[in-house]
Amino acid sequence: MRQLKILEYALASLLRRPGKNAAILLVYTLMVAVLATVLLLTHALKSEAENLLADGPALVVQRTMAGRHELIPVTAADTVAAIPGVGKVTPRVWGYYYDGLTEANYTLLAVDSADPALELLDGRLPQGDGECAIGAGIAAVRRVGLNDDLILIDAANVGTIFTITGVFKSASRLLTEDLLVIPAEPLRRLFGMPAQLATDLAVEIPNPGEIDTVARKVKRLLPDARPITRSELLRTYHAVFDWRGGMLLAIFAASLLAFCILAWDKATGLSAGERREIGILKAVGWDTADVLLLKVWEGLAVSLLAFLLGFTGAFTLVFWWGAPLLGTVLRGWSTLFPEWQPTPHVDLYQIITLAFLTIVPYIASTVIPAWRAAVTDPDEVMRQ
Amino acid sequence: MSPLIIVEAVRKTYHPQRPDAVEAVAGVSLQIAAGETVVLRGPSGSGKTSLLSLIGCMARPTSGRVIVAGQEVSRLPERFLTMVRRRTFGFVFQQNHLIPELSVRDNVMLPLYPESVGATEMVCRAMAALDEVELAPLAGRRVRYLSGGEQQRVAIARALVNRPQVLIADEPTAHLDRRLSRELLERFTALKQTGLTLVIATHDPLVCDHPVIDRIIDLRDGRLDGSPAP
Repeated sequence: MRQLKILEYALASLLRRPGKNAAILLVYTLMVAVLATVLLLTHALKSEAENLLADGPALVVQRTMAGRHELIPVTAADTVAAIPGVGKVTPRVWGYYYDGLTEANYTLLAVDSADPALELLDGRLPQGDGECAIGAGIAAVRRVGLNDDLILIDAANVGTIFTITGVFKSASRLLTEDLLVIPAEPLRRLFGMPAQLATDLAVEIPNPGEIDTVARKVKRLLPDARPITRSELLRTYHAVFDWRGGMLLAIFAASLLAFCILAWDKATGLSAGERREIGILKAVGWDTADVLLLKVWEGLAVSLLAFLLGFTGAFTLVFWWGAPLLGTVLRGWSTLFPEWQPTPHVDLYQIITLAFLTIVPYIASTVIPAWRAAVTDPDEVMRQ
Repeated sequence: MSPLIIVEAVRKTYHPQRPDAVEAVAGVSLQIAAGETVVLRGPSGSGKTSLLSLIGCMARPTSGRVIVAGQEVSRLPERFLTMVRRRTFGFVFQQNHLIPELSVRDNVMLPLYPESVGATEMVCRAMAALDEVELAPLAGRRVRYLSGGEQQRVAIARALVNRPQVLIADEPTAHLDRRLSRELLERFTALKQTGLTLVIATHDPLVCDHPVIDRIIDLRDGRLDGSPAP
């Protein structure tokens, strides 16, 4: 009962100082919102990468020379396919294409290397020479659509005309936004890639427990090969997004520090009125613990409200509006940014960490100066 | 009458370790009986307020003992000292010390928050205390909009809301005109008739000469006037 009464007094007390408390609330809400946006977006991107890779090959085999990626002989597929536990092995033909017209990078993929899960927005997959299917991002920047022509410059610096037979969509637009699918032969010609070579091998392994064993065997059979497992790829994505998130947090650290100093200053500076009120409360029979309880409730009310508002704001910004500002920074280097709508993924550990880092310091900054004022003898008030 | 408050050889020194140490109370002994109305009289700096603080458990003596209702309070832990203060004493301060942003009723309820009293009973007790000082109609008004005399009546209601045994008033007429001072003394007379013990620090002759006063204790330089300097 005493707790409830003091809580009621604390809330009324906050409402009596609307200017100061609104300023603190605003500062803390912004701080929580910025931190939560980076954390939520990083986590959503990592989850998105996990979803993408779930449909990808269990193992990708590349060839390296002098530490760099090289084209791999198609015959290596037979060597890999002979390893027990290996399912289908597909030599993939793909690569990057820089379009000087739009200053964007496209990902070019042979039609038989494409993931069967890819959905077409409109049209069909290309079937013959001079046909292609494109991602929505390419369609937008090149301002082309179904049955339009698309000119690409080949390895001999000669323009090749492709007719667009389809425009892609996908559950994740991260995958298809900058994708351009062409049949294997014309793609090899475009890249100047010999018929006996492929970009890499996509290896299906039905038993996930066998993936690492198969990777070791591939390395033994093909010493110049680099087998990349799905989990390694996932770790790389996580590291990249964590690094980008960390960089953003570091950039925001200066402004966060400024916010913290302002909030600390607001919170620690007991006004003459507040100091006098503490003296009066002590004089009329509140003990130090009652005053501290009052300040804990005040601090908890402000910081919890700021946390909820900030976190809700960040959640809305990231998952409803697609994080219009930070998303671009966190997603990657491509200039063809998809209109990506992250799927809501919230990490409880992150919420608890964020709550701990924002609520506890604020309560401490509220209680400590009040404690200093409350431990003085109440007869001080008699002398004012 | 049996003594309700016993003060034995009490000294109070402020900042004892510092060169500017001040001995505000220098070895005072006195007794106050239940139901008695006592004035502590003396010029400014004579130690009236310090002695009131010691009697009312607002401060601890540097040496000596203070006994309230048979219990020595000088060495009690803060929590218990606060409880004794809250349940035994009501205070009317020289500056009233009300919270101006709060309503009259909320100010009066302040001493009840740490007590095991429900919200409804808090309001009932506050209204009863305001009724005693004839301010119930102004219960919802903010204190800052009241006159000086009304504010002092709010302070008296707040002092009475916990049904104390002793009312301590520090210079209660210092900011009142003669008419309001007389009204206040009439109120003290009415309170005395309920059996309340009153301890008043003042040098106002109007208070000292009023029939409600049973005894006057004169103070000078922190000592009872007439007692020898050490």
